[in-house]
Amino acid sequence: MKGSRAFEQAQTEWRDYGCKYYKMLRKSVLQQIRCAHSTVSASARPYWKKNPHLDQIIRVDHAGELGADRIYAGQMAVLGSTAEGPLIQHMWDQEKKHRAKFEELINEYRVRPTALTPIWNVAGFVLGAGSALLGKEAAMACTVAVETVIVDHYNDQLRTLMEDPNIDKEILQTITKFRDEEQEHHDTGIDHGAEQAPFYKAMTEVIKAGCKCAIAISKKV
Amino acid sequence: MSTLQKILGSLKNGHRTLRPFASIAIKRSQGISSQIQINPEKDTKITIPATYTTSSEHEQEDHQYEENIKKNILENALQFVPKNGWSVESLSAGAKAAGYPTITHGLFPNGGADLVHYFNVRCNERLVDAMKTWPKVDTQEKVPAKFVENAIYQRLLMIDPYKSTWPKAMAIQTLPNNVPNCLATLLSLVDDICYHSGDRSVDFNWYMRRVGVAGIYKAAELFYLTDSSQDCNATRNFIASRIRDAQLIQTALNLSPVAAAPQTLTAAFTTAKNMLGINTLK
Repeated sequence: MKGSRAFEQAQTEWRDYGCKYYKMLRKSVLQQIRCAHSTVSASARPYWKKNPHLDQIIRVDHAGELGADRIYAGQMAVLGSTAEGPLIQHMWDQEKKHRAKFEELINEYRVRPTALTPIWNVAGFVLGAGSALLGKEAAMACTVAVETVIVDHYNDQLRTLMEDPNIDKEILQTITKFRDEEQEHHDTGIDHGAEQAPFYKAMTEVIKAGCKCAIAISKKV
Repeated sequence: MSTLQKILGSLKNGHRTLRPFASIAIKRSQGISSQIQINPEKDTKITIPATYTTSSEHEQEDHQYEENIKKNILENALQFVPKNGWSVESLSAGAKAAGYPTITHGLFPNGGADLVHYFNVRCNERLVDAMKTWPKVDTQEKVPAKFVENAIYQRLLMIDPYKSTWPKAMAIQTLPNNVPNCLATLLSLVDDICYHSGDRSVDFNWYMRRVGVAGIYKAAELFYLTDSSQDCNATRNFIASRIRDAQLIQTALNLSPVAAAPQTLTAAFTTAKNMLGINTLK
């Protein structure tokens, strides 16, 4: 009786070890590098210890604001001299401020910026200019689609941040403020006839899917 | 019965079973001491934290305890490296010097690779501490070439006591299962150098700079191995000229293609003429 219990115990122990080794092997090389990298100078980077999601959050938000900045730049290049010019300029200025803020945060927290900045740079401009070429309604529809995804994305991030007990107040307030401003842009787009755009439904869905894809990639790469 | 099994397991598995075994021994001695002390106040003082601390805190403590032992052994093992190389023998000798049985080298399943990794991490930390005290360069005006040169040179000099065995260490680092650790230490090294030299880029340049510095460092490391000049001045010159090369490449990349077009066309034309054997300058 006693022997069988000991045998069972040994069996569970061995199973635990098996799991541990399996998990160690499963851990991707990149993950391992990131772990080692963070332990090397953990003392220099208290933020990393505090919230491992923080570098992802800052990286993807910076990439997003960079893209938004370029989209408005593209729209301004086409619609700059029309009646909508000042309105787009106003939204563009706000996006520039957002981008500057996240660039500051990248330096402060020593986050790796996304490797795809050149791609988002070009893609953003092409999306902005392309939609603007279809007319001002299409440009507004593009704004609405992008801002819808971004607002959702910021809300998700806020939920993640709230879960953390030792929450970073500065980041939280920054994201909340930016979320509100993006919501404003969304409403402006609707007010200025986004829904009258040709193929409004199809176009917004395609842009939304593209944005979600870009967010998922920028988190990791 | 189970104790015997644990001892057997520890022999097979190294530290993973040794650790709980060691911590159990400590708790037992605590229990004995609390039994000996009849004072009830003392007794409760000992038992309360034991029951109320969460398991994660316990794990944290255990982890820290194990890390300290490992660090102690590795630190002691480094002095045997010139004689025994980056090997299990050095680890055994280090364990002995730190007051543990020589079999404790089982704590390091990767053997010499763990020792190399520890050495790299320690050197990186020291370099960061040193760089923090160096004067800051105004990166708006000029490229901090001197800063980077000094940083790489200082880091290479840290290898000096182990120079004769360092080729072996470099070989160990290139083994497939050691590559992640090796890359991680290299990345953190170049990241720290770039950050402290004042790099605040947020675009693709971030990657360009780090890859560039990593390349220069690795090239200089290879050069350093065969450098027998006084104070390794040859290495220093080598680093300086590689940094100059990198700066040249950067200016070439920054050159706008339109401005460089005439030169490129002329060069292509001359090359074509040379290949056809109708070079007029001959």
